[in-house]
Amino acid sequence: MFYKSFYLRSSIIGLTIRRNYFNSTFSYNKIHTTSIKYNSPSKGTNNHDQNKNISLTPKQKKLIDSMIRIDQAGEIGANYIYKGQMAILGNDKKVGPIIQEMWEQEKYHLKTFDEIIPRYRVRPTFLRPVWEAAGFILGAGTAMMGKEAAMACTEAVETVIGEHYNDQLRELLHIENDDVSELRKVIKQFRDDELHHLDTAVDLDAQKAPFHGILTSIIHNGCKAAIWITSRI
Amino acid sequence: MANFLNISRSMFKRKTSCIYQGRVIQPIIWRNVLSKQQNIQNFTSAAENLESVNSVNSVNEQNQQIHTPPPTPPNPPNPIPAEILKASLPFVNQYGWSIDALSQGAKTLGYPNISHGLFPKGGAELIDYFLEDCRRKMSHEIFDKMNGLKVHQKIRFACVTRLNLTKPYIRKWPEALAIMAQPNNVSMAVEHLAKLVDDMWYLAGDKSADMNWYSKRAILAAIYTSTELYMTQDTSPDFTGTYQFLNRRLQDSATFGSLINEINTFANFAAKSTIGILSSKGIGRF
Repeated sequence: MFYKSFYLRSSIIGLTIRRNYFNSTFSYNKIHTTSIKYNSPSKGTNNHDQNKNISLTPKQKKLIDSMIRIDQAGEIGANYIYKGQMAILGNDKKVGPIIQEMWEQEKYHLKTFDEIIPRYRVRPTFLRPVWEAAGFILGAGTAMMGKEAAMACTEAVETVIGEHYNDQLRELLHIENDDVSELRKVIKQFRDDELHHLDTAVDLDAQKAPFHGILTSIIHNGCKAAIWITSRI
Repeated sequence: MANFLNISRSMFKRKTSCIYQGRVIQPIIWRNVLSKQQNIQNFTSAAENLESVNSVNSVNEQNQQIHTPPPTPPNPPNPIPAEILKASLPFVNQYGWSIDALSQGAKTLGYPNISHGLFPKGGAELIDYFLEDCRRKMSHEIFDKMNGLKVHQKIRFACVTRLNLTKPYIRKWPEALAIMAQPNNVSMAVEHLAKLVDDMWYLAGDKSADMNWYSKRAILAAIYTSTELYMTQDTSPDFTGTYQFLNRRLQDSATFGSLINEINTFANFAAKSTIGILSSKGIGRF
């Protein structure tokens, strides 16, 4: 099993997938939860690791599992929101190219998480089609209300995502593990990207959207509900 | 008199309420003598009690500064249940998945027959251990032998390895299946199956991150359970019938996968043609 290395498009951080991770056998000993009752002491130590990795406890593993799942679901949602917006506003000269560019970045984010999921042995979200449909409807719906509404939708979604990435970073700081540090780098970079999108949306008159307050609060609550559901399913 | 009644009533109330909450309070007389002492015990688990246990001091020490030693770390996992279960497996063919097998296993290790009390669910715990053990053994046997095989060959190899681990107990396996089907044990069994197919696909190099993740595992779970069920009544020499059954099921799933793909392609095509026709008639803005 070999891995191709990939580098983030941004020039700030370069991220390489180490080969050791896969070659250190299947890390199921390190990451999968094993039944504690039958864990005799002699089998406890994991001698396979090349990296100085402190094994994750089952609780930490579950936490990271749900974090990555939520992140992937979020990127799916964002992708389809931009897709919906492009379907309606694609021909607009002012916002069309900008939405297209933001969409390209989101596609890149989604691709990254699609690669992170098998690497960390995370279960992806079961409701992927639901998030795809919901994202498209939200994007297309707000775009039909006008450019400002579309930007307000982007602003609201990116705010929630930015906050959420921050919360995740705060929790991940407690875990000392090489793979988790890499994950932290990725999340940090993506958080910066999302906040950049937020600023772009605000610059494009998001605040002037009709029913801005209601729209924002609906989208905030919807996103938070989606995050809660995805952390479990 | 009224005073006495009042006191006794309040004592009664306090004692019953505290028994209800699982606490015990010393009688009032001693409470007055040892008034500064904490004599309320919580019947909680030892781990939670790490600090409060040390806080019961005698009256003399009350004058000195109270300090508690740092909490001791929890004990390492107890190896004895695993040893007993491991020792019980050879007796399964004779006694079935039952507490008799557990007693015999405990006896070989020198523990009393009654040690099966460590396992309140009896045979189900033995099955639990067996499934976990087989999954680990399968993974250990396979992980370095998968190079150069195609995906379906890897899956077949994993399934065959895992089936071979059930072979020694195949005569009593129907009993195990029946025990696993009991409502108490269904969740345990399903969890083991889920972990098993997840391990198999992981070792086969599955990198899917969407609904394929679920469909692959569901299909493999169905294939594996049906093959194992077939194996319980297979009388062919050396279980060749089972392997042929497995091959047929794997072929079916391959065609099933491409069939789904074909249906998807067709549905896409139909949807796009419909949208095209509608927009040529002026309906829709696509």
